[in-house]
Amino acid sequence: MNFYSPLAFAFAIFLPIILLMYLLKQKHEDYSISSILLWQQALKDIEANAPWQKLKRNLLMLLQLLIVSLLIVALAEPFIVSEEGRVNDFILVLDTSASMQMEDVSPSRFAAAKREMIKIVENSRPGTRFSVIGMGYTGSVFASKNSDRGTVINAIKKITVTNGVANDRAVRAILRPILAQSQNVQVMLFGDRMYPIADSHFQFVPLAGANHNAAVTLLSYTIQAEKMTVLSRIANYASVPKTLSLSLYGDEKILDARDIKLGAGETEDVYWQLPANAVRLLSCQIDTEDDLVLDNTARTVVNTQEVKKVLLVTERNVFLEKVLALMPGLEVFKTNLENGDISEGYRLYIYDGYVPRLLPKDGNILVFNPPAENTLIDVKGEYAHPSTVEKTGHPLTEHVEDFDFAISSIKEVSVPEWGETALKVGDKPAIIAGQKDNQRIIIVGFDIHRTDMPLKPVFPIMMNNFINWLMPFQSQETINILANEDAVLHILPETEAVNIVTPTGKDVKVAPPFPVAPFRQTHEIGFYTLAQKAAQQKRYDFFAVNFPADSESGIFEQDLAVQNDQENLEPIESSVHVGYNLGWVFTLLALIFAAGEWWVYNNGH
Amino acid sequence: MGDGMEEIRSIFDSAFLRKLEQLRLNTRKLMNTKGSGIRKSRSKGSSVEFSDYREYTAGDDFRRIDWNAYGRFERLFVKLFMEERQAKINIFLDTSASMDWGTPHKGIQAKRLSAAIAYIGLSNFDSVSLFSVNHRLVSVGTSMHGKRAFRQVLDYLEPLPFEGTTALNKAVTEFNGSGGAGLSFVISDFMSLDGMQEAMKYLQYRKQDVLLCQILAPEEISPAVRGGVRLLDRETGEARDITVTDALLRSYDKALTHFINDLKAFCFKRGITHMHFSSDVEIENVLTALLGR
Repeated sequence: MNFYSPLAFAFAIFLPIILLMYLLKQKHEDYSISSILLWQQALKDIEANAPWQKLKRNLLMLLQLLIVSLLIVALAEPFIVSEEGRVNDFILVLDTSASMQMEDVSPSRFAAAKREMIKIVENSRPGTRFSVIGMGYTGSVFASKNSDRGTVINAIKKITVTNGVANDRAVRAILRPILAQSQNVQVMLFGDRMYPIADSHFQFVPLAGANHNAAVTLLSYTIQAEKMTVLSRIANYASVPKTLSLSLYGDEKILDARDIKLGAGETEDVYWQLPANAVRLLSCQIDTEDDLVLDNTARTVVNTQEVKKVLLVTERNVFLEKVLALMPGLEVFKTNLENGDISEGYRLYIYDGYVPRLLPKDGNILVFNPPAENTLIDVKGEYAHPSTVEKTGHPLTEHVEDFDFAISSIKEVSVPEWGETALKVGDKPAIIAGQKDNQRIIIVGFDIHRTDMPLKPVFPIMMNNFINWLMPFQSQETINILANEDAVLHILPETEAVNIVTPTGKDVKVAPPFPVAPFRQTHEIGFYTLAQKAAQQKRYDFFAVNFPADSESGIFEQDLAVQNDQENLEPIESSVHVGYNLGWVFTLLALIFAAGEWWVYNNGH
Repeated sequence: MGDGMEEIRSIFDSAFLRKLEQLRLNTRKLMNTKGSGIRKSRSKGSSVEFSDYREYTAGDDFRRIDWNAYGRFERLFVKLFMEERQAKINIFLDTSASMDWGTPHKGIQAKRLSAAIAYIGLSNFDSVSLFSVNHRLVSVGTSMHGKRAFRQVLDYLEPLPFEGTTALNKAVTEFNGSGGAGLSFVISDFMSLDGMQEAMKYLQYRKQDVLLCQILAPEEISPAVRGGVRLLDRETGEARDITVTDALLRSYDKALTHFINDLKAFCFKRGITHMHFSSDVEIENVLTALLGR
């Protein structure tokens, strides 16, 4: 026989208390009598006749001790593992998502979950096999069908909690073949939200508490007329109203602070005013303590509005000139084809019907209507009256809803190794985009003058997409990502080495080799520094990794109410039982003895 | 004891006193049969000291009818002479703390009974002495004569406090027996620490005809207490924690019966009259029972 809650034996302290109470005896009510003579006689008599009289009182005490002992054993939840329907294989899935860090269950949801898992392993019968899976941003297998308890427990201890969301689909995919093969398998999910990771043989062990959490779920800004307005969205997930102290930090220095009151479950937008371009790193923080610290801060990086130099090489193209002039942050330099072979000093080179012999190396390239002979792309010829334009879903055609434009003649080009088709006409490529070494290149296969596209809304949208892709405002495309998401980096063409410094100061070498792969080590919450080294200069950019507050901060016990009627903070004990609970037997025995005690008390002679 | 005074006197209304006078004959009968030896010399008899007149009733010696009085009132009167039937009556009243208890109050009932006996004695021209005893002889109400002395009796009884423990053997032997042979009433609950047998033997040695009146409160006869209590002895202050169960009450009842039977057996052996009664019994019924035997 084992016990699920051996801690209940602490109640054994009541046993000596009962003894003590008997020793002290209850205080008797005073009863005045004329003389004690007869009573003494009566007592002597009764004591002489019944030597067990004293024992009778002790019998009551013994019964009470027995009842309390039985109740304590019942509270400790004894169980025996029954032979029938015994489960041979346990798959223990541990939710390692960010919300598991919450401390509404002591010491935290994650630690409590591990404790429950270890308890199950320790209480298992010899020969039971355990698989341990962590459900984080991906599903990771820590132990597989292992029957050595020590190894399994060590594996469980090694699992760490993440700052990301839980990927239940990945775990479901891992489980599906296992469940299909085996019988007598029990899948147990330890977490704060019941993800449907298995359809049968599934048990959910909920570990959420009441959640007194508050979080900053959004931080963003707009810049207008030299003023920056910062928006922070604060959510109170607790079931009680809270007063929260908020602070706004710029470049790690405090800029502003205020207190807000939030009702239970309320969300409020808080606005802050700052001068434009004053800071680069913005963060908003709740200083009031709660169950989870990580989601009390949201961060974002402010775009620096640097002016980017663009070289436009064209004979005369009013459409291009106009559309570039309308874009903010660009300084456009125009030249004609005769002087078009400038190959240095610009972030972007736009060639209209022309490609220089020597391609520039320090900027990205946009080519319209490439000439037959060029160093960039192979032009096979030109054809007229092409068929309709087809959408490819390429990022460059983002936000374009209507491709209702015609092209009278188009260059026939073959797609190079580094490029892919962004827009098709019929089955032939019309626009090609790609990255060649560090350089981003777009080639538009037709003349702007030979289409009605500039007269349609599609033109400014596509041009905006082109410029944003070729010259992102930041050197990385995502300024804000959530923990464990990939950070897609944009590296300047002249960069020779790329390093990223994480919020805790870890320096990670990202490149070479080029092209740079997305950065995956975004487990830490905070500001990351991206350092790019070129021959003569170093450039630093930043991006923020935030806690997934929207999806993780608000998980609390009520979410579980559907699956579990328990109201206490740790509804574990009642649901983790793998054996046959004997608690009711002891409770019943205690009741029977209580009835016996009552009878003895009333009919004690 | 102002209240006590009222309580004792309250029953001595004229109706009650008349009833007591009715008991006189029986008393005399008692005197004649049992107390024949306590008479003063009968030979001097009818001669000497005139005391009182009384209406003739059947059975009176008609030689003592006062014919002069008959001549004046045309009614028959009998002359009463003091010496003739004066008996010595001693009343020992237990005034220990244990008597200060019960509903109705044992002590008050005992005082009433003493007063009633005294009245009967006085109206029979007997000499009545009252003794207050607890663990010693506390005080003595000196020999009283004649009905007019009844007020004296009440004045003596009323202020008597109930205090101290009961030790009849010791207290009664302090009685010096002056006045010679007589009739002794002992009124007590007989819950005496040192017993009572020596005292009774002593009284008999002092040529006393002894009558024991044992008075018990209803709560003593059948206690109404249940559960865990701390018994407090009124006399000694002794405390005892007990749990009163049916079994204990049965045992108590047995002890009480045993106690009374012991007393009875002793009295029977010694030729002592014994009676016990509850304090809620009317005094006149007690007297009827006591003197009617």
